[in-house]
Amino acid sequence: MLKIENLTVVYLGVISVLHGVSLSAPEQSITALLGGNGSGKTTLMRAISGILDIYEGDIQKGEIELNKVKLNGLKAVDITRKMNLTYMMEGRPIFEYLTIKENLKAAASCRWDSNVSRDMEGMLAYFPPLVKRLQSKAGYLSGGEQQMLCMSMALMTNPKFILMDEPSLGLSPIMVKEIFEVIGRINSEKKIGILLSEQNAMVALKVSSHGFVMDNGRVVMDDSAKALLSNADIQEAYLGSADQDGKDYKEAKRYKRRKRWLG
Amino acid sequence: MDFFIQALFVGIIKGATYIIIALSMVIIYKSSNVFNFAVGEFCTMGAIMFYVASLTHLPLPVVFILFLLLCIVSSGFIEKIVIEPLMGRDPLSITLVTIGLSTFLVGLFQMTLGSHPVPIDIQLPSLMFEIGDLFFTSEQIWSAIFATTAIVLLLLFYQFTRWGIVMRATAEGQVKAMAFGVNTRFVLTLTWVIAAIVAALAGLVVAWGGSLTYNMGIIGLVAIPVVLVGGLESITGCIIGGMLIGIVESLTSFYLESAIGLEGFRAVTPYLFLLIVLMIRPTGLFGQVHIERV
Repeated sequence: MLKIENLTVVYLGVISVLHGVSLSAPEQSITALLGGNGSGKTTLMRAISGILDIYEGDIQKGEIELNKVKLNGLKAVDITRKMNLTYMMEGRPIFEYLTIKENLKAAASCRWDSNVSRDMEGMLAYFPPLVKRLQSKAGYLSGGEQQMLCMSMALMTNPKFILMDEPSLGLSPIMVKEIFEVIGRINSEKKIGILLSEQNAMVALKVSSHGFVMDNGRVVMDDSAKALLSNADIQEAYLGSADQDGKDYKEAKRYKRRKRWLG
Repeated sequence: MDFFIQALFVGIIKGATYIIIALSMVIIYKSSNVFNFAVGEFCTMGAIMFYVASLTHLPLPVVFILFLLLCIVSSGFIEKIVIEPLMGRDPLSITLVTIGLSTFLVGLFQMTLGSHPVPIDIQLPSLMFEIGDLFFTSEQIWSAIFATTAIVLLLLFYQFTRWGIVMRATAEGQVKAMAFGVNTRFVLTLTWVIAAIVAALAGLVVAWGGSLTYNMGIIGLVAIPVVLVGGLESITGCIIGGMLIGIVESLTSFYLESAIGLEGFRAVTPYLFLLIVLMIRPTGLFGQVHIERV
């Protein structure tokens, strides 16, 4: 169970980004983390994976625990190697000048055991389009193929928990469907827990079991995925309102909407 | 015609030494964007380490291995004390620190070596080479062999071994590598140690041809035009740039110096050549043109 309690994160000592965020994501299931731009989803993931200090961020208060082990002070390398938690950054983090095979080897460098080549075969079974282009440089791949490469690199680190930051970014709807199918399979077949931060709320909630909604550095809603999908506020904020008649602009004012989060 | 071929080959052989020094700078620049001004002092340090190893009077292969170990220890020590505390900071700060490091090391070498040149003698079979009117000394041939071996080994290491792939990946994106569990701190130390060993090899070759003095590090300054002509991030550029500068310098010393009567002009021609190349291609012949969105 990945548990975050009362996390407060500040950038550059003065920019307060997360104000007391608490959430929990059970292992072996997919938890969705929704929220608009700037709500603090990426910051939360950076804090969990330990690379926050590179971005001049600081955890001022709060606890992050994975299976009762505190992740707060650990170095990013230890979090990936010893705690088996991998952060798949947003924007498709691949090594562009390396070939696909070299990318996978580089990602597997945290475990030099003999299973690496066997795992590579397994990885490529999830993503058939990559097999044809094994020797081409990763920078030349299309967006969807790069996202598949990212995911296979994350899988090569042998994780028990993956933090996925906006995997559907910039992909066509068909590709998004494919990727999310694979995400579902990773979770069900390999029993890997996933914390899925997404803008595409519909697809994310369809594949998750539980969901958290963040706004302005706070968790404002916490419910099962099915309940969130049918929630009127979520529908209005993310899925397009069911009520298509000309809305009264006064009604759509943000502060009024924020009051309804608590209800 | 023979004169010209002699000049060409001397240039290529000298170029081999320049290539190794330039490789050392490129290795460091590719991975951390730091321009290592202390590369000449790493060369001197290598020559000193070899001298120390040779004092044991053991057979040459053992001395060589001892030399490598001493280089690893000393460069690892310098890296841990000087470079690692600045990890993550602006590369310009680390570049300035290398300037200070170079001055400090020159003083240190003068204190330990004294101001007189120390001869280095390597007992290698003589490979003196004569074809017709062309003549190459044994040291020149051996240095070319060393340089080529070093370059080939380095390229093989980077292309095919696991650590080489990891180092290339870290050079592309340190944060990305960290997110995938690469121990970037160790990779950075490894980068500096490899660069120091490469420079040490060059220093060994230079000292063998001449002799070991405390300010032998001036040779490092020649690497600057080589690196800039070839492009700061390109290993191919290193090789081609080194060849070109070596040939240009050699042709100047053979032809131009007597023609215009300026002795020693060949120290200046690499920089003039650099100026011309930069006017045509500002990022060097093989450098990456960075497109920045403003």
